[in-house]
Amino acid sequence: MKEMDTISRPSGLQWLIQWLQRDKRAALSFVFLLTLLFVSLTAEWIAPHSPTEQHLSNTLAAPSKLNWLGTDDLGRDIFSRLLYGARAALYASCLAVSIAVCLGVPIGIWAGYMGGWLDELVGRMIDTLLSFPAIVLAIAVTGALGIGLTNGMIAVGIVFAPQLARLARAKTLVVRQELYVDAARCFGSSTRHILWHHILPNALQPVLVQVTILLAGALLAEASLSFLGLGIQPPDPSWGAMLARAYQSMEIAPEQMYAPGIAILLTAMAFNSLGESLRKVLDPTNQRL
Amino acid sequence: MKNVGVNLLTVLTLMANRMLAATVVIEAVFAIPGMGSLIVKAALQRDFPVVQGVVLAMVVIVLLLNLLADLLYGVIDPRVK
Repeated sequence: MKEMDTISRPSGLQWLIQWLQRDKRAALSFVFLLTLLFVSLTAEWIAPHSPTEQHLSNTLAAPSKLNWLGTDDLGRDIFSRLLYGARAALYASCLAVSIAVCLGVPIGIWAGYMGGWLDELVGRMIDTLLSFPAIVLAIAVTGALGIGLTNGMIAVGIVFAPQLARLARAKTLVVRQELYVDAARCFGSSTRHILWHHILPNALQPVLVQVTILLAGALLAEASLSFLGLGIQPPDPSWGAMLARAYQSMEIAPEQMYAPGIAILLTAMAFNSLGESLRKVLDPTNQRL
Repeated sequence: MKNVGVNLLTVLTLMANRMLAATVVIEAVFAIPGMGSLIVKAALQRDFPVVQGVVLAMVVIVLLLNLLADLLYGVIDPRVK
């Protein structure tokens, strides 16, 4: 019994540090995302200018000491807008993914555990939702709920939910066959207790990986929706909206599109490589951990 | 080719689904009149019946493509029945 204690699992923080030490790309992505989080929380104090203040005498300016990344077509400082845009981006992707998790995971494990006609019904509904092109469904839901960043992200969350539901369901089908689930059932545990304490923790690993990938997807969806004018509303800054604005004056000042475009690219890449690395680490067939 | 064809076809139909979504952005960027720009305009003006119609049309296209792919599996690889 004593030995069992000494080889207990490392705590969450230790595990995180070990993982990041081993995988440099994941560490880099993690640091980048932490910086982004920090920037978005402290944008008020870091940003050199207001993100919405217009200087119509100084429009489409090239990068200078005063405006580090130049100004847009209304004379607003692009660097400040970029910092505030990080807030919109993180808020949007986290909101969309939380909605997807809260909707998708319970439905998935419930349907997978109960089986029978209920599973069949939920499976068909998931298939139906997955056959919609994602952006089109998001636009449709935004059209129904009204235009705005929060509504747009609720729409994206609804679009993402079936993916997570399918993943959670597939894993639940495996986990429910395990002996400890049978044992819990024999001891008379309620279905809710089994789902919450036995199925959920064991079905969560693929979901966790998919969540990081979906965060990137949500970021891109937010950028697309804002680009189309269905996401964040002017004058509030978001990377997608900045791209849309810069696109209008692309022929005069093409360098305006670089900053928000690269920001979107890097953040999406960070989420993706973090997810990829997480998938490798959590893979039970991977012997390294 | 015959052996790979089935897998290729699966990926192609999945991509067709995504391409249909991409047309929405592309049509808005290049100001091409089409279903994509129609749905964006309708959503911006909260013209819900039009949004519904476009979504229905797109879903029917996706379903037909999937059906076509399912039928083609049998043509490409006779082992699939």
